[in-house]
Amino acid sequence: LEISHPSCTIRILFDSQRRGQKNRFHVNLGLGVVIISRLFSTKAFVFAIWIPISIFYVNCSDFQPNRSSTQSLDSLAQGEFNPVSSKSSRPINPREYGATISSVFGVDPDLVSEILPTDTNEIFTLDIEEGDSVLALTPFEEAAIAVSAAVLADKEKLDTALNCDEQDRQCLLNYSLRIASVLFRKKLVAADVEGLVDLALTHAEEASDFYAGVDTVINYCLLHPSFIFHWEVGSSGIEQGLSKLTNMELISRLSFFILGTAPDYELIQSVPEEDYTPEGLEKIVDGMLEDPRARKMADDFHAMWLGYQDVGVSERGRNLRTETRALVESVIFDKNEPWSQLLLREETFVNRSLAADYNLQYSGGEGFQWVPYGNTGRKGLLSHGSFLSDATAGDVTNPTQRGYAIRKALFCGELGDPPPEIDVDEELTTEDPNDCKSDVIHKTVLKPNTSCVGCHNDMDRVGFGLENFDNFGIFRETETNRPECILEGKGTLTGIGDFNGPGELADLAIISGEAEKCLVRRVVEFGFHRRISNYQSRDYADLLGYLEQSYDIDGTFKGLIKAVTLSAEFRYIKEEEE
Amino acid sequence: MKRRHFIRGLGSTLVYLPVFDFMLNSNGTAFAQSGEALPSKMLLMRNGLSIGRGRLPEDIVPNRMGRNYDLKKALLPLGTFQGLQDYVSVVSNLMIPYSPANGNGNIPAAGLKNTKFHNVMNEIQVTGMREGRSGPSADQIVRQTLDPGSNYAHLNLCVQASSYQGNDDSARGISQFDNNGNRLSATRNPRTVFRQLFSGAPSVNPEQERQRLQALAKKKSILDLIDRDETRKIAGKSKQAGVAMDQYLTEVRSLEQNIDRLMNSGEAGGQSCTVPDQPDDIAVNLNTEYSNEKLRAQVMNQMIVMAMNCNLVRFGTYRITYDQSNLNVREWTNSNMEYHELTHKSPLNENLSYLMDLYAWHMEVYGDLINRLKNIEHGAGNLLDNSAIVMTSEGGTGVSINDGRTASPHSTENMVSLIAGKAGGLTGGLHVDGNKEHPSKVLISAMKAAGVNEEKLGEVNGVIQGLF
Repeated sequence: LEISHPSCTIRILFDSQRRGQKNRFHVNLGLGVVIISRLFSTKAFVFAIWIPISIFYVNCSDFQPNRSSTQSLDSLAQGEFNPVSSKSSRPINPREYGATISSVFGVDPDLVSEILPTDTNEIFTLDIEEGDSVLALTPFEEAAIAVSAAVLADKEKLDTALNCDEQDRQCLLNYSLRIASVLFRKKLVAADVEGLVDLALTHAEEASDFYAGVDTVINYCLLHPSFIFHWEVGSSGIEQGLSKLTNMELISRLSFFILGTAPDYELIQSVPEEDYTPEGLEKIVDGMLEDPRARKMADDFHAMWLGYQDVGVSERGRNLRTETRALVESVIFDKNEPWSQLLLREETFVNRSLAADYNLQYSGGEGFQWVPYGNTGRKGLLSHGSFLSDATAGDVTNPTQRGYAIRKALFCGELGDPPPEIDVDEELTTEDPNDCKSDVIHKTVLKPNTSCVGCHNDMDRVGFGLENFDNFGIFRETETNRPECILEGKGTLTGIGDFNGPGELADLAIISGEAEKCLVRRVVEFGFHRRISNYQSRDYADLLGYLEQSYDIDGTFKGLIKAVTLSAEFRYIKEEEE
Repeated sequence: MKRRHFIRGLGSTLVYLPVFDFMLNSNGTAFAQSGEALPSKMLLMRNGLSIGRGRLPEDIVPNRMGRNYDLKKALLPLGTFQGLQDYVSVVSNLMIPYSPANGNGNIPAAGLKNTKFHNVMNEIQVTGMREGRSGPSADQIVRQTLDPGSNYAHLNLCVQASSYQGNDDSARGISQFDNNGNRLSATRNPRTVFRQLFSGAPSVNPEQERQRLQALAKKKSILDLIDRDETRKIAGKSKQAGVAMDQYLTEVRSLEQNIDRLMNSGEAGGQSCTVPDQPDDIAVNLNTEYSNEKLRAQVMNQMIVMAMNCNLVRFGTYRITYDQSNLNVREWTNSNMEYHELTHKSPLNENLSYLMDLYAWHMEVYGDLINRLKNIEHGAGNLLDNSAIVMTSEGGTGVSINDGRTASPHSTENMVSLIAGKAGGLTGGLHVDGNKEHPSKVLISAMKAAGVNEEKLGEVNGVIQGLF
């Protein structure tokens, strides 16, 4: 809960999951703060038992993380941070590829989506497997051909991009210099592309077609290792195994993190020789956060994190994506509200069709509009059909899978593998064929004193709390096609509290602080391209702690992104041990 | 000179140099000048699901052994092609040794013991192991043995457009492994397959041939320029960067090698061969978990067969469905389940029936491909006479490797494989008892048929004797 004041923002902590984090605040004599929790209006009895409120006395002037962003860049020598491991190379993924060709050539970002395989390194994929495949260059070759063909198919647009009076060597050189700089994320000079231009001119002459030379330039750039890989080797010599990203590497990392694409040509040209000042870097980050592409990136991030990125093929799916995208943009960009509003917003952006699905009052028109949830038991994103539809495939909801997905995604949970003697694919059955789904689960995997019950308590009881909402987010009182099976919708988040429906789940997720802790972790994973297991999180403890402090200042997503990008860990890397 | 063959309905854009009868010996079985046998073909196909659930695969395994075996429901599509059954042998009663986690005393002690059934079933079969993988897949061994200079393209295809689970390169969609056991990704996009197979292929039309060579030379010069680029120096800055750059440059040289192959090709070829038109895009639909795999299979079959006829391809893998496939089955059945769910969810009998419908579709694809090979004259016979086309499945049915439960699809008992063609002395047209041998022995049989002398794959030795 927050109280805003012109000079500071004060957040109340509930002494449960955050008990160990009191030392994040400089507690001084001074201002006494009395806080009223809006939560009393919902589940006061829960918090009376589980979450005794701690009231802190906070001096606003000292309310800051134990290291500030402006200190962090040069804090290496003072030992104020622990650098985190980083891969010095990774292939560009299809999402980055699509966004970059769209930025550079103005072609459809989905042009290559069916050529390049789904990203195997996608950090949010729940069923990620050990071991990468060998890099296959053939799809990249195919993608380059497809992109070049699309660019050459629109000569008018290409000529505008070429911006040449004459179709000559200078024209090709300027074009090569410009697109190679962006695609390679390098400040290139003419000498760097002379060889390419010579080759392109040769091909143009052989084909008696200037555009054959352009084709050469595009194919060369899109097959080049500087485009296909992110290289982050930095400048060594600081200490064994530790490197500092070069300015260009830093800008590239920033751009792909915030915008999902390569940095713009103008930004590349402006990269200085000397280190960025914290203020200079902050200005760049601020500029990127104002870029419309940052909105798409934030939307993609949440879709990948919470697992609804594949919703959207059908008309209903497109509606659901529109609804969720609008909420993300409204909270993060239009209103710059605390991120928690993403889960707690009391209204949603729907059209007539979605409003009917959700049983909401819709006041005319065919377009989308913001509509209050009212007393439907819904709040924020967790009530969206996009979120509710993903966890379970097919028509029938599965409390185990829903609970598993929510634990893994929203709470960054790590659930152990099932015991080796369990065949997890096998359908649960009981002797009574008339048993409802809940009965079957209680008689099998939730049966007391079995090896299953421990993990299934953490999963199925979460799923039970959403059972009143089908895979499209539509409210129902009984199981689909089984009117005799009444759904109570009572769920439990072990160690946190009980809930009924997505609205109360959202309350618990925010009150416990677990969703926001998970947000911080997922943003770090996304920014550093590393999946952080619970075990590995010890290596990231300093960074995560610092970012949680920073995030607590205003609780906004933009603020968190800035804190990540301005941290020392974002710039100093430790080579990953094999 | 025999009549040219065209892919029905697809037209042609290029015509290759045919193999003339006068090139062959009097029997039409080998090249007259060199005495070399006509090059054989080997393709390893894959159905990504176990073949039964809860009882023996009675809708698949014929009752009669030997020749003229009876075709059960799931194999019926093979009977729709005139005379094709004489080329197809069914090997039943195959088994991979296993040891269930709860220790069943009647089960062989050594062998597979892994809860991730779906992740390992393909790799242990194609690399010939009891558990895990440590070396190359069967197709790679054949390629390295019989085509060390990489004179032919190597197929690595998959009909199922996506894993439909977010990771298209998951272990369940991989068919090939290199010498170090690394996964080699399959191509799923039919247009990419087309370009890989045909865009650089030779033409008898002088102008088209000139353009072809020019395009290849252009691509090669681009790759040469990249290969010489200073960026490679980045490899020296960190161990990890070095590994990545080495891998990248290896891939670049592989592309260059492929270009060299295409630039120097033009003499070999089927009796006659035509290039199909480039296929239309077939959209991937992650949401519905069905991307017109029926059409994808048809298109891929046409391209594979013509590439083999044109001698552009000799070996490779061709997966129809992912292991533990998430393909939605509503296009084949009245169910809205995923293929994999049919083996686990109720109602049992209905889903078993649907499971066989899907197996039958795999047989349609398999039958269509080998029938196309059979219909192409090649030397004294047809292309299928000189081929070994294998179809394997993810698992069998019987005791679960997970929990020892009987009647489970997570079983390596009662596995069935098919092998079509008469290359290397394969008899064809038989139902053979696999006698609880490892299913990799069917692959070793295909390797032998293709011309590999050593009868070994990973830990498995020997062929299925009854096939020859």
